[in-house]
Amino acid sequence: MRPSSGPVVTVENLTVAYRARQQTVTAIRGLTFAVEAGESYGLVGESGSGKSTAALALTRYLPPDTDISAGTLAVGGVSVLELEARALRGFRAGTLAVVYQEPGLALNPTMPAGEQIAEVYRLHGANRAQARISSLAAIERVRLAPPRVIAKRFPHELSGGQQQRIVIAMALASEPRLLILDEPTTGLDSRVETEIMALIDSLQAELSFASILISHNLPLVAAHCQRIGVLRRGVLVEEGAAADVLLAPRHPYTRSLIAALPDISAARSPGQRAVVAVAGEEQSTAAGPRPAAGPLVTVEHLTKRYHRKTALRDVSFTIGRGEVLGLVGESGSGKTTLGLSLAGLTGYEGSIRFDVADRRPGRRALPRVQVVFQNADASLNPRRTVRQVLARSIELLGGTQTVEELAASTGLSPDLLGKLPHQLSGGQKQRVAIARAFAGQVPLVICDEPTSALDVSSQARLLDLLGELQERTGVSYLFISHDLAVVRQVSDRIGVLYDGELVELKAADEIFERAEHPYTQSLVDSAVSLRRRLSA
Amino acid sequence: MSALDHGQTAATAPERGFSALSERHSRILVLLGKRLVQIPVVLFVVSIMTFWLIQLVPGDPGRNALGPYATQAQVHAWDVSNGLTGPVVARYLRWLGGFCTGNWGTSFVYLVPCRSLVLGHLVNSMLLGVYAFALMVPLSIVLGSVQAYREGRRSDRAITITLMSLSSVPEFVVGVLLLVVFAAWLKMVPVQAAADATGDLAQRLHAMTLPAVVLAIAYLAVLTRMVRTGTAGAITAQFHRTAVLKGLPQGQIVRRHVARNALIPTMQLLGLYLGALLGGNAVVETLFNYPGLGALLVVAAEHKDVVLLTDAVMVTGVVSLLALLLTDVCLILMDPRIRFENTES
Repeated sequence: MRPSSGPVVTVENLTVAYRARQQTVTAIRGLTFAVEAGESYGLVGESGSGKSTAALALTRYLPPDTDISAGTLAVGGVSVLELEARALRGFRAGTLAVVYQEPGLALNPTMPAGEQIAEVYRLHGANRAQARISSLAAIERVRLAPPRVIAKRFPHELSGGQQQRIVIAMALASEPRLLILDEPTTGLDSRVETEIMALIDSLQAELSFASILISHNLPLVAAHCQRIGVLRRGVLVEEGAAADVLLAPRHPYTRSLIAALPDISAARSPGQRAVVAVAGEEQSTAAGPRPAAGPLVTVEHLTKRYHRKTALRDVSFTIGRGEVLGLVGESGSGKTTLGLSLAGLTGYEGSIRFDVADRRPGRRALPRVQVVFQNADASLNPRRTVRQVLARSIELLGGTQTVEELAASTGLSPDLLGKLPHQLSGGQKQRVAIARAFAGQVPLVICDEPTSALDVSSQARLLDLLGELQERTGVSYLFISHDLAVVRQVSDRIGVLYDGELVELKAADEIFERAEHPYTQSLVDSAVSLRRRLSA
Repeated sequence: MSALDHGQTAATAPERGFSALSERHSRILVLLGKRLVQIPVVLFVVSIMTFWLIQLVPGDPGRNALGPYATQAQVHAWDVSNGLTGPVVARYLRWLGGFCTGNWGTSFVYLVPCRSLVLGHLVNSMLLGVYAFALMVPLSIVLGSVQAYREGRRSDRAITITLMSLSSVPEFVVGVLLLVVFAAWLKMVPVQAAADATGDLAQRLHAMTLPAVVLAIAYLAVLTRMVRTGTAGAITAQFHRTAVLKGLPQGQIVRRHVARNALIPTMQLLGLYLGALLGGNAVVETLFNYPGLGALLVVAAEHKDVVLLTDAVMVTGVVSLLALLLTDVCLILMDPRIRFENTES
């Protein structure tokens, strides 16, 4: 590491504004912070808080219609705003590097992974053979093996975790003084997240670069950064040592962010359903938590084969009436396929039985399942207003309420009814999707990662809404997520899918206390360890 | 680091024991094998359709050939000698047997063997098609990428408007306009493209320039649009940002990160266009009196020359299918993600 005088990053009074049509949107207002050499600094905020814009400003990679001004904006002693095109390229190549949010999109899909790393070495003057050897060493350094095989793979042939390791290897190839980590683990499973962050920590100790970790995930940032800045609508509302900000937050916004976190140690919200769950625990092997009624859904020997691989292997379980069954597993474990099978959206082998009385004898049977998908954006017709969407759902599901009543019951204000999906926020869109599922009396609602695209505070509000709706209507949920903390908050029982097999199915508390399968244990460990750092 | 991480990928991308390149080679072989079966089936169906449909076209070839003063008996004798009598199925089977064994029959319009006639015109059409292709592909790539890099600016809109206007004018109008300006008025090129068809290559190319330009214009707008969309997609993609923030020089970014990804969507369209161009364009060839396969098809259809028509259609079909096959092979080489087999069981 070069001896450095003063901080690696100095930002004073940074203001960034986007010009769109006639109006100007200020993304960052008077931001001031500094990062010392070798230090890791965390920038926390919800989407739209300007945290990514702050990072991109350091690289000066901003859209052409952007006004950027600062008293000082220096990285590694270089005043970023004064660089000419050629110098800017050299600065990007040598001084800083970025690890991106979605490694699958950040890598060129038509170039083998090794070549994308080698490109950086070539840029720094290595010849073809040297670059090849260096990139194999870089792949080894991010602990991917065997390097020769990995180097020849294309991005789509790598898992999300492997892709991110390649991006890290690529970023560190230029021996940067500053590494910007822009939501590096969002979208990855919690176990992979733990591994990636551990890798970054150890590489930082080894290579002593400074880092800026940008995330909406407070516990994650707390676990890996020495200092934290909290951004809200482009303004730094709080800054301090990680432990101080998290354990003794001064600003109300920081406090609300912390309060919104799903708490790993506490089970579901108290109330009527907690009682139901206790009953379920007492006879934990029984079909459902409600002793009076038989199970709503009985799944037996469910197997799903795609062209080459098997997504589900001989899965059997039941969902009780009014029960919330949580389902966790990493991406590719088959949890979404299981949801699709229950919804009748894909073919399968085995049997799925619903024990539902026909509520409208003689007429077309009403759907028994509704699904709330992960990506509300993609599941709403972009050309239908909220009112049209809800009215259609009420009609199809034989609902008795009006659009206004339905909207009110899901916390959608009446003035949103005339709007189109793109005019809504992520949380509002997901509320519309939920309202659609509750437009009639459907016995089972499948929630497939309903909050994974949302900020913590939107997530907390949405989970509250789902709990409230469940209490009011008594539906059953199949709640699919990769986040164990979220699942624990809402579920009576939790099933763990691993490589298409249901390896564990237990009451929510038991999963945490007596996990048997090694995969479940690793899930619990990584979930708990992230949060333990919080309270430590 | 965990073993699980590797285990998962091993399940999705099994170790095949050879390098990435030879894995693609094996995919090309599989594709070729499949097409070797599919192409004859498609051609068989096409030949049945053509042979049967031509029967529905009104007109009596024997009467047309012999004129209004021939007797009914003479017309019938002519029909018999040209193999136009008897059940359609029997005639079709006779044609099919001949076609497969290399005896493509005789055209009663031109009174020569169909095979040399069709193949000769095919060569002409392919020459013209390749010429047009060579004009339009580089031009559309340049125009499309210029548009993408200047998206929303005045030059972008000007190119779109110009190309859309040009391509919405029918080929024969563009052709006649160009003929008037460049052949009749400026006398830069001959009026008839066929005149120099026997001369040396330079002369032939000179004569073919106008029809090739007309053909190129016809396809240019859509092709440029595809290139523009593909390039715009590639330069707004996140991997482009990665390349920029790596500090790569602009030229290297374009060559190594933009070009290939930008042209993948265009490739599919190019395959269709290549097939259409090589197989001959009836309107342009007729307009410029160019002895190509398209013009030949028009004559054969007009005169109900069943054997010639079916032969020519088969050859056009082979050319189109081979052009598509060529594109698919190119796509496999360009895009490692592409799969032609079904993903859902």
